[in-house]
Amino acid sequence: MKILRWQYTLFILPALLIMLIFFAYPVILIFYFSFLDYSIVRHTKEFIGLANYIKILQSNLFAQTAYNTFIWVLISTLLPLLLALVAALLTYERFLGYSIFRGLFSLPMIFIPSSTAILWALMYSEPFGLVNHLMDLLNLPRQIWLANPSTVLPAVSIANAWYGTPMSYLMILAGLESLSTEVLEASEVDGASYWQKVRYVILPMVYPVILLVGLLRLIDVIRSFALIWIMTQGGPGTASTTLPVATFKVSFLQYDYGIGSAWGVINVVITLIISIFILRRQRV
Amino acid sequence: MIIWILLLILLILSLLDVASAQRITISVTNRKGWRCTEGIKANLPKFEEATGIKVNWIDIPPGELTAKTLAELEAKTGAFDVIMASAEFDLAAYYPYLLPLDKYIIKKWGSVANFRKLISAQAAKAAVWEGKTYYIPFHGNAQFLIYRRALFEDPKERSAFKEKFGYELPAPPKTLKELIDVAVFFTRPDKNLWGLGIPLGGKYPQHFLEHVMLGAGIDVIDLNTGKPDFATGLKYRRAIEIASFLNDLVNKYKVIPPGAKTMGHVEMREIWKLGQLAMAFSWWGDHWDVLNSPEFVKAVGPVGSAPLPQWPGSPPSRRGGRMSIWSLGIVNTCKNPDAAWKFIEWFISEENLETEAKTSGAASHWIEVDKKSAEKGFLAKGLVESLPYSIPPRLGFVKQGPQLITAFIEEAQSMVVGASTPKQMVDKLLARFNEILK
Repeated sequence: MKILRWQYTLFILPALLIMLIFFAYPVILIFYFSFLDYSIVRHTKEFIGLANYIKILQSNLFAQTAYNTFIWVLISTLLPLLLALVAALLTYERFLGYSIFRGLFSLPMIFIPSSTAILWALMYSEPFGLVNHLMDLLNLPRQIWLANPSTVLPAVSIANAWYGTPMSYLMILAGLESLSTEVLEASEVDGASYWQKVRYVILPMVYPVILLVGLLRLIDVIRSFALIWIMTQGGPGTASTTLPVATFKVSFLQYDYGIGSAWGVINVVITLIISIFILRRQRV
Repeated sequence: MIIWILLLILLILSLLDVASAQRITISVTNRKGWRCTEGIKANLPKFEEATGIKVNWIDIPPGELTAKTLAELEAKTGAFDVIMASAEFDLAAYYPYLLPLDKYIIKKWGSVANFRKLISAQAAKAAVWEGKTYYIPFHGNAQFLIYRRALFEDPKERSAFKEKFGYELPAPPKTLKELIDVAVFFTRPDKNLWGLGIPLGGKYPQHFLEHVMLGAGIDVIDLNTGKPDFATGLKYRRAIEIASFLNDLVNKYKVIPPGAKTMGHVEMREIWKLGQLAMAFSWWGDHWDVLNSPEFVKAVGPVGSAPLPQWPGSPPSRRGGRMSIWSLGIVNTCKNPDAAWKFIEWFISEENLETEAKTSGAASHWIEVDKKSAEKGFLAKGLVESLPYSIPPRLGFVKQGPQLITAFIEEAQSMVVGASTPKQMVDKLLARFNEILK
């Protein structure tokens, strides 16, 4: 029996409906709310056009939040990528104890963000934390890592990098393991040193994988919220307030759904722009 | 035959199901893990057995309680019948979604005036919105000072203090100067002993500043004008002095453990247990039983308590600083308001409120119950002496409360970590308040 085109459409209709209800509807709602003065504390719900966006973009908080998000994304994306690449390059040629190393190195991946946050908050703790014990051993002054505006962002970003490195490692490792052995052997026959092999053969070949891993990591980091919220709640002051933290604070601590939705939309738009930019570069 | 037996079983089961469906169920919110209501929760089966009303006790993490409650109320989902509300700003936010309780109050106590005489004046004020009564209080607390009695009574410490400062070691300190002297005296970083523990992580610096400001006669927001009352003159100068006081405790006198900048009051309680503090200031009413538990007393000796010394030249009627009020209200979409009221009546029974005092050390705002709890030694002296002379935060009574509180927390945190001076903090706070209230 021949199935007609419209019948195919019928088959995908249930999935489409689910998508519309659970994905499209909330997205449309958030866009709609972002044009409202909608506060469930002030009991307002009126259309105000772009006023929420103008208010956000003109605020000092936006500049601070944009800067914080940039630092947070930079460290949390590049550091794990670098660590993962180095680890993958050192281990892709299997050695004795390879499985144990891979297992141990991937361990942080099994933690949920809230556990990671609590673990690292304890590590950074002033009276008890491991990090300050290390500072003692090195005869360096103790720091209150999460209460110092200049250290808080790097500190939480490092915790996030620790959490994100294993996934990047496994993906880059898979990329390395899928490389053509013929090309690698040919470079060895031509007398390439290890470093030349890495620099001129492996890295160019694995570059698309690294780019993809970086992009996925970046998208994950830019919208991540739990870790930073649990560790610092965006403080001290606004020193570690990133875009998602600001969105949460406005929406669920100030109960201003209108301006909170506008923060959310800005977050989505920035993520989209960065993603499209990187994807286009990848195509080039 | 077998079919008939099966049909009979089915019939019995369905009848049972109908019976249970006909049983009234009410859903009640609760701050998850809150020590003050744990004892009352344990008494729930008694209520269910006596009334036949089933209670769906919904534990919500403290940080999510207001957001979840408000979201459900706004969406009119009917998920909650009885809600818990704090004077921090829930009262102002929730009441449009609640049922006025005046008819129930009149039925139980004869008149609203009679009911108001039974509870503290501040709780009575906080219960009424636009002329109607929406809230029934069940919990009251205030921040106060605790101190290690054994340390303060130690003859060696007493003579060393007198030698250094020229007067007897006050137990407890009664003025701010004495407080600083005592804190400085006991601060011995080499021995990991600190003079004064104040939690300074998250919202706590704001709680401290607001406590001292309210005690000093600064309302922060004038409820008559809807504007900050510390923008000019004496109150402006006093606000800066109060901010400087906290700043000096942290950065000049260095009497507070450095790690306090990331701590809440539970962490501070653990530092207390480790014997690293001579005095500590926070919401100890929620932890009084723990502080007096054999485990704690064995570790650091008996605990004394007192109100934090008041800012000099301030009205004595405000010497208790900032209070908390937690109340119950009935949601206006509730299908069984009579059952919900029965639950509230039970919740605020003398037995339950005494249980609350006994299992945590918190007061209730019910005058007679609190009096008895104090007599039985369930409440700290610091709380008993602070609560009647304290007021709830004014920020909670204006509709922009959540924005104002967020701004206050952020600016207070920034000052504590040295990102702004006390004057800058007050000026920034005023600027942000004016912007929010515009």
